[in-house]
Amino acid sequence: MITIASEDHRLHAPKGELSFGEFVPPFENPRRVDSILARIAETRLGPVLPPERFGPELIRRVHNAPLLNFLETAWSQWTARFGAAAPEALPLSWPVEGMRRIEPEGITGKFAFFALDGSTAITPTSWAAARSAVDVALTAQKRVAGGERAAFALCRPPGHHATPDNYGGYCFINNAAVAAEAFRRGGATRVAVLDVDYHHGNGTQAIFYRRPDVFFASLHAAPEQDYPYFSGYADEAGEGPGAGFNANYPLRQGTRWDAYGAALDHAIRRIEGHGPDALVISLGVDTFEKDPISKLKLRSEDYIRIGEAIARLKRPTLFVMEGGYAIEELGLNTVNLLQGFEARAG
Amino acid sequence: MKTIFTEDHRLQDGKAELIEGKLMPCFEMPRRAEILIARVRDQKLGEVLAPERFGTDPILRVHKPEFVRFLETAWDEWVRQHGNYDGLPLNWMAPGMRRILPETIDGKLSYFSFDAGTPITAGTWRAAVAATEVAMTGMKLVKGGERSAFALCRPPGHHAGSDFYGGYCFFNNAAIAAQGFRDGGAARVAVLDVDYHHGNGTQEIFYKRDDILTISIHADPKQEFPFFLGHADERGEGRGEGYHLNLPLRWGSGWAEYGPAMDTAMRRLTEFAPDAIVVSLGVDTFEKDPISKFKLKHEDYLRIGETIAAAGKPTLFVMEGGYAVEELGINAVNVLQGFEAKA
Repeated sequence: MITIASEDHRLHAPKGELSFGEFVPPFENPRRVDSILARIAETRLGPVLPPERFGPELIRRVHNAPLLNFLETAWSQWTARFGAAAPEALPLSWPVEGMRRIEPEGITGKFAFFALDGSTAITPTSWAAARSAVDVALTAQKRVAGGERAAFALCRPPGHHATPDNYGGYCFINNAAVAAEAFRRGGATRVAVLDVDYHHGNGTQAIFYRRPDVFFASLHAAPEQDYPYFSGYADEAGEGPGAGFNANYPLRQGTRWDAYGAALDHAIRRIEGHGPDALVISLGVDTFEKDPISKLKLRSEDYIRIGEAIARLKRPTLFVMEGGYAIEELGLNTVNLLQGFEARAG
Repeated sequence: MKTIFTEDHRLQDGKAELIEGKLMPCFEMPRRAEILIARVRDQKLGEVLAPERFGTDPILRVHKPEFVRFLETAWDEWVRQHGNYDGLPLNWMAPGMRRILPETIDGKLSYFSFDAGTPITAGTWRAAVAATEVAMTGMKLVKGGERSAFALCRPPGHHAGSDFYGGYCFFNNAAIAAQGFRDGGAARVAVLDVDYHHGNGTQEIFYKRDDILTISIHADPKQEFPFFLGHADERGEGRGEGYHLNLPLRWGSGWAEYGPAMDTAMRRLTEFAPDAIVVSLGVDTFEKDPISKFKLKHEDYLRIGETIAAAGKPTLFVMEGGYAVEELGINAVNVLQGFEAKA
């Protein structure tokens, strides 16, 4: 399988994130990509190629202009207010229910308006890194649209928490959603996105919630127990024309392969029923038992089975990297999934 | 004027708040109350009394039970999950997300908070309850016939809504006192909020009511925290329509802008003819306040007090913000002395 990767992911390497009341070194850091690339080389998964450059057109189809304008200029606005030596940019507050969504004028207000959390710092070059991750996703998508059975977009920063109007959860631009949109623009009538990251893909859900052409299925930690807390319940099934085209599989903390595998089978059957022309996998491996911020109990060999199950759909498949923070085993688990797929994809 | 004060405010002593991208020592610190009480004593403003016990009943008149329960148990749950250090939320609800109360403490912090500047500490619950008792004791004095009283509350309250905390506030002391006046027989109560920041909690709590008029003069939310409430077109809802007044002012405003806004506020307040007035007294409108951008001077606070006194109503002052610590006492007590001179 071909992997698309860019060195530009290193442009997003904040020093800290707000995690449970303290600043800690970010769990989402450049070493994640190093771990995965090392394993790809070790297993001879396939060639690793750099991305092509893409314009902003497809990004604009999944995110609204105010968010993109903000992300592109956030750092310069932040330093205009707080000086060139300002720390990495984080929000201070946010709207609660009953407050009004009017974009504030000042940069601290804009952070409060566009952010989803306090764990996603913006640095001088975060935007460039986020754009490179989209290039990675779209380059791999182009391969699959061009006839490859599958490709792996080694995106970083990840994307699945980014909504049309908000960034957060380490995500700025929703790489998987942009790629799904690219399949649609390229002629696919129906696309499915399957999100196996530990955290609910609230951004992808929000982007496609009212659309019947992109089916979204997500297996994730129950939102009453884990981030992002306010999205990902089983009764969220899509809305309007999108009703019936969203499937959430919340899993309780501590879930092991038996329950995970059953939920995955169900999701796969739902996707089969949708009959997609192309498949995008939001590939997170923070479901791993040793993941430092997660509480599911998958083992390394379980990822092979996830890959096998996905291969059974027999669709052109794009893997887009999302989360996974157990650096040591990150490469192993990710590549296990890809190899499981390849073994069954023939 | 009598002052109500308790040392229990010290129990809220957070280590850090998230501001400007950094965790910084909390601006809302115990030293604030020390400076205020020192100035009250120095100026011989009047007797300083300890609060009576009221328990949680008055709190439950304006805050939802699940929120009160959350604050009571949050520290213990936080310590069980994370250990013995201040609790801050991690994320929050974005548009389109659902307000379902999570089970885990981190989810609950996200559910009930609206900023990362308000740490939950070991003493938060006791300090927050004590502050409501300070306000209620002041209310009782005024209801009992005192022309005015000063409830030296800390932590402050006006950002706390019926079921959310933030902006250094946990329980809305001023709203609890206003409701206390109502429950004590006052037909109409006015809350005038002169803190630099919009009193979003007070607005939310009374937004649909016509028996409690709420007025706030504050920095334009397009520029300033809490950013998403406090616009001039928010005038109350349902029965409460016309019973809320926001007077947002731009950064840089001095007395030239503030004075006319005070006059507008007092005209509306006088027309409402309240039986009692609660003043949310913040002095972070001061020109040297470290986190604010208004330009009021020491003498302007005398005028604020005089203007409020001219309404001729029983008046409870409830302390809110103000962070230019050394000058905090002068400015707050100037308001009270300006009031007394004209009362």
